[in-house]
Amino acid sequence: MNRNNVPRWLILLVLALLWILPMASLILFSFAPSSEILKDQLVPSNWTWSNYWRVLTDAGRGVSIPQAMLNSAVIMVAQVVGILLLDIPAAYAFGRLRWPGRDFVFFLVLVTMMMPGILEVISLYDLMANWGLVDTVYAVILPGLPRVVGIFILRQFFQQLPREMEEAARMDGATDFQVFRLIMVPLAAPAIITVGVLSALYSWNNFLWPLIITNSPASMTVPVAVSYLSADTAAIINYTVILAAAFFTSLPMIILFLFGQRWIVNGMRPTAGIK
Amino acid sequence: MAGLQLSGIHKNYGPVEVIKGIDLAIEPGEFVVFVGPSGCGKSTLLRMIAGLEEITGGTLRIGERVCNKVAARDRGVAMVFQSYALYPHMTAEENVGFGLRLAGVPKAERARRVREVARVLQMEHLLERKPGQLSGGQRQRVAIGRAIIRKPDVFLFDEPLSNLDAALRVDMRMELSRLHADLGATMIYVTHDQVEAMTMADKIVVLDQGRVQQVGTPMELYNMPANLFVAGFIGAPKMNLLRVRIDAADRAGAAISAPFLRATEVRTSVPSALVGQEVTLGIRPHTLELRASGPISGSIRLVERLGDTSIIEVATQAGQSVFAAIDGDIDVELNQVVSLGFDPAKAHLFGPEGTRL
Ligand SMILES: Nc1ncnc2c1ncn2[C@@H]1O[C@H](COP(=O)(O)OP(=O)(O)O)[C@@H](O)[C@H]1O
Ligand SMILES: [Mg+2]
Repeated sequence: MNRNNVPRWLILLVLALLWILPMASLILFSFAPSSEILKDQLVPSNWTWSNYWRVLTDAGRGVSIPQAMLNSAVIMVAQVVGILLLDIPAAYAFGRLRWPGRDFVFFLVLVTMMMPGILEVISLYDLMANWGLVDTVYAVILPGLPRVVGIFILRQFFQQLPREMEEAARMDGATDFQVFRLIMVPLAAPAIITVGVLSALYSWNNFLWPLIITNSPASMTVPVAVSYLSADTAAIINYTVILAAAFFTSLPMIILFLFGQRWIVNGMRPTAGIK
Repeated sequence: MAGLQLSGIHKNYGPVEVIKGIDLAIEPGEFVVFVGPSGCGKSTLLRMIAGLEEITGGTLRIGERVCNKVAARDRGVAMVFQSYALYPHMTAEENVGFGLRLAGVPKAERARRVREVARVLQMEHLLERKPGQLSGGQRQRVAIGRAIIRKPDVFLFDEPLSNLDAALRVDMRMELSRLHADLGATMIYVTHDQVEAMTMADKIVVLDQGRVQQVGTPMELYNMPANLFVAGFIGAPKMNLLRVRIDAADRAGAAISAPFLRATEVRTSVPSALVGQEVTLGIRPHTLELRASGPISGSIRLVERLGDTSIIEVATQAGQSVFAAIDGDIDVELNQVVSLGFDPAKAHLFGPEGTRL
């Protein structure tokens, strides 16, 4: 570490502390009895597993956190699979195929990304109501497909893949579809994994739409369930149970991100996997 | 093995004409080199033959078949790319066997044929590796293996050696020549390097600005360049191209002179209409030799010693510089005054339009 770097390290340290302190406090107090949180202290003085026991059995207000995690997992898997199935071919068509009107259609697709999602809520709700899907997982899953950000990331990546690679495959006898499936998709693996992980995080953390479209504890997703716990007006809110629920339900994503971050960094770099 | 017939081939990119009418016959089993400066259209022409680029005009026949509209994969043609274009997610074995896999060749048969190709190219020990774990020369081998495994009628190479270092280039050059002899297939090889063209080709096609400048064997091009472009392009060091005046001419030869050149004769028949006119005299540096009293005199401005030969630059009093390649054993030094002469049968004359006289 050279001396000029000291100020930079200090700034990074402060930023890291600012980011870590609330997280650390959340985790620490999730292991404390609920009375601890009202005392004036940074670190709890008594410890217990009971919050986690309640998260697993009875979190309150009829909410089942395990059920919510199951719902969220089903929704997440369905959305990630659906997003990839739709985004990959779309990105390929926008990035590497030539067809009339391509750039204009892509522009329209991008415009949908620029519009705040809240604008769609009413018409989407209406649509789901017409289809009789309100308060079901399908109503949570469908509006998330496809994801324009994913199309955008994958398109950038497909565009950067060398033309000669595709031509070599053609000379080897590949049809258009074989070029796509056997050469282009495998080469785009880093970007595909990136989009998959980002979509999983997005799906797991998505709050507003599931809150609107679901209302019974049986179909709630994780963020909705946790927020439901803290929105009780009648009873005394048990904060430490909520902290435990928040930490426990974010564990799957923390693990996913730890495994996926190498790919996310690489997947953003266009020539990843080529050289 | 198949021959090719190009008739009036044109290529336009929008309004820009890149290939301006090419007529060319390639015999079955021939090693043909397209050579020319960067941007002259070599790759474009090769890619049209491959089926990777649409043909704007003219007719391309491979064997007996008109192939203008035939898809690349149905032309019986294989190509080695300048960047090799290996599939980075596949091992060398999978790269080489990819074409067979697409053709539905059973796995065992595929493995057997990949081994066979690997043996020919001496790369059996590389088969398990991915392209990222191979050196430039090894990637080159895999790329060639991928081309030869399907036993195509015609091989296309686009500057395949330009990413290799000099020593490896010489090795691969010989290896490609050997491969051509072994396979007996028709090969079309694109390069901007006239040394590669001279050393490997049965037939050289010199291209410039989208047109064929000359077609011939290496020695034909070297000894009888059809125009100034070919004269300057083929041969290293470059031919001296000097402005001279025709003083007299008949069927047997011509008398020429210039401020830097004492009146002398060349054995080129020159039309009498050109008497009194300026033309270009072409003399290869290797044709010039030191003489006690030659037609060109001057002082040595530069000596480049290559061992067996030395290249010297001689500056004449008239200001014209001339390059000569002389025996490396001869002692010469800077500023030494020397005199150069040449065999009148080995001088080339090019008329006002730049074509050979
Ligand atoms: N896709 C293209 N669009 C427009 N012009 C092109 C394209 N490809 C090549 N050219 C032009 O065609 C000419 C010949 O290119 P190329 O065949 O690659 O030359 P070479 O291989 O001899 O260096 C160049 O002037 C190049 O700029
Ligand atoms: Mg080229």
